[in-house]
Amino acid sequence: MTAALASLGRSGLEIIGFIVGCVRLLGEAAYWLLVGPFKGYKLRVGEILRQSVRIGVNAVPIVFLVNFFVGVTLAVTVADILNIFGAPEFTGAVMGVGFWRELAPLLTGIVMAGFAGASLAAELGTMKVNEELMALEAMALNPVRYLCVPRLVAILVMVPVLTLLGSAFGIFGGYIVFTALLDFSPKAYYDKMVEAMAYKDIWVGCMKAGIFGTIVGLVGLVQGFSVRGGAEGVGRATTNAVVYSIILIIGTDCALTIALYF
Amino acid sequence: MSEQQPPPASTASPSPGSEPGPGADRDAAFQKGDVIIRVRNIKKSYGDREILHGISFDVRKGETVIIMGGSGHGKSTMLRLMIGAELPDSGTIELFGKEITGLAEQEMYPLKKRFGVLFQHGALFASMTVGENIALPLREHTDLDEKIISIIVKLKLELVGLRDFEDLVPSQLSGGMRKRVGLARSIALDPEIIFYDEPGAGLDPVMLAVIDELITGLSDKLGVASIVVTHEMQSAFRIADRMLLMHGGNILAEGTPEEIRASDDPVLQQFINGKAEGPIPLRLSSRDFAEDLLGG
Ligand SMILES: Nc1ncnc2c1ncn2[C@@H]1O[C@H](COP(=O)(O)OP(=O)(O)OP(=O)(O)O)[C@@H](O)[C@H]1O
Ligand SMILES: [Mg+2]
Repeated sequence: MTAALASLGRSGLEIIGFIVGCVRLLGEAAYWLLVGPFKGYKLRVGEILRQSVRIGVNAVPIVFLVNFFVGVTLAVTVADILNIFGAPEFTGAVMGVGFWRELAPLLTGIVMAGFAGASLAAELGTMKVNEELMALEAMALNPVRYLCVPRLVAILVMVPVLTLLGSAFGIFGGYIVFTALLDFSPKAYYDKMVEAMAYKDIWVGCMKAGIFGTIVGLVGLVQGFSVRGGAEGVGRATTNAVVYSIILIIGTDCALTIALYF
Repeated sequence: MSEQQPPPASTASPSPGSEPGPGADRDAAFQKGDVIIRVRNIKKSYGDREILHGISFDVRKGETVIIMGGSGHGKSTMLRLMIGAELPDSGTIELFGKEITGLAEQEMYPLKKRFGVLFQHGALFASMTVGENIALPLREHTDLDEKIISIIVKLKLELVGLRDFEDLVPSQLSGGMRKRVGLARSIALDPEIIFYDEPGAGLDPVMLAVIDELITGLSDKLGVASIVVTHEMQSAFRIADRMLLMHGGNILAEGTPEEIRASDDPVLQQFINGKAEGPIPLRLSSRDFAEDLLGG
């Protein structure tokens, strides 16, 4: 019993330490991004581009697949129900609002937790284990400026971009179902979608995506930094990065959806 | 590295204003024989285990100081403290006459550009080629032209006998080769102090002699101070100006190679002669072995 309590207390402390770590990293990254360049510490623009390709461009296929399949699934389900009420064309409205505002940010965020968060944690963790981080610091190079800022900027820009693409892919999946499978007119799908949507839907979606991207980046990097021990520690950090980001993304999404709906 | 636009060739030497390059903020006041590292009463614990019980020593400009000691007796820890990678629990460390404990990160940078570190396992950046590893400090801390950087990289690689390996990545190198690349990287900025953590581990006897010559050459010709942690006794006696034996968190013996050889301290003799029998315990544990086995 006391052992169980102690272990509960330990994991409680660990989680508090983890959250403090995320907030601190966010603060330090903001410093090196916004203040550093004015003090003669150059921003690594080329590295930001390289990381954007690594994190963003390479993720396009998987973002496409996930959003497309969920789009197809959702459209089949919704069209069937709406047909009962004799209003199948409202499928377009559901798909539009659903994807731009809710599904694409959430799905893309979760995909990125696995795609980018895990690889950030593994990369940083391996560098920590190999003393590469210590070597950087010994060369008067700050790891947050040198490694974290380019990765965080890349992910903060790329996740919203991927989310916009994801929305398009999901709505395209619905469109295929609506026109090819159910044989309704494309125009009805499109008209109802435009009718139901507001600009707010798009910017809320983008904002969520930005927040989810930041979560994925911070969690992955902090997990990487906190690696102890060898390969085993890297494995644990990678798993934690994915699990923590998914939980945080879904929790934040829930809170934001409720807070922003009205 | 693509954002590093090479500046016009005329600025090939470190520019004064912006980022200080090697030599820019160098203190001309340090003469051969001046104390360049001063360590006083350093204590360090991990958890409730005290690893260092109050270490004090000096290193002078141009001097090669060997740190010997059993595995796990805190040599690497002492190095990490000296390069500011960790903080001691108490005591002071001065580099170039400046107290580094409690120094803010950015105040430490000018000092860090004046020393080089060879880590125990090389600590090469796995995502970069050998050449990029060595070029990194030059690209980040100097305004040197890319052409000059490439020449310096080749020179440093030649010094460690690896000129043909510039385009390989660390995973394609053997352990000893990684060590030598790490050494080339640590001298890229022509530092005034170099910390070496077991430079000879994993090297063949010939390469060991080459590295020894490199270390003594840097010290004799350029006045570089070297702090070398090593287990290679032959090489230690070859390059040392002074030797320290760390044992159980203290400095057990200190002296010139001749003094060390002549000492009749049993621990020292056991250590430099590599005998299994003697006063040095096999384990770091303070508990009795039988008690450990039976007591649970
Ligand atoms: N980060 C750490 N956390 C906890 N204990 C540590 C840590 N680093 C080192 N130690 C402990 O400090 C002691 C000294 O370690 P250190 O690496 O300095 O030894 P060393 O003299 O360099 O040994 P070797 O010759 O094997 O490299 C060891 O007992 C080790 O267990
Ligand atoms: Mg060591």
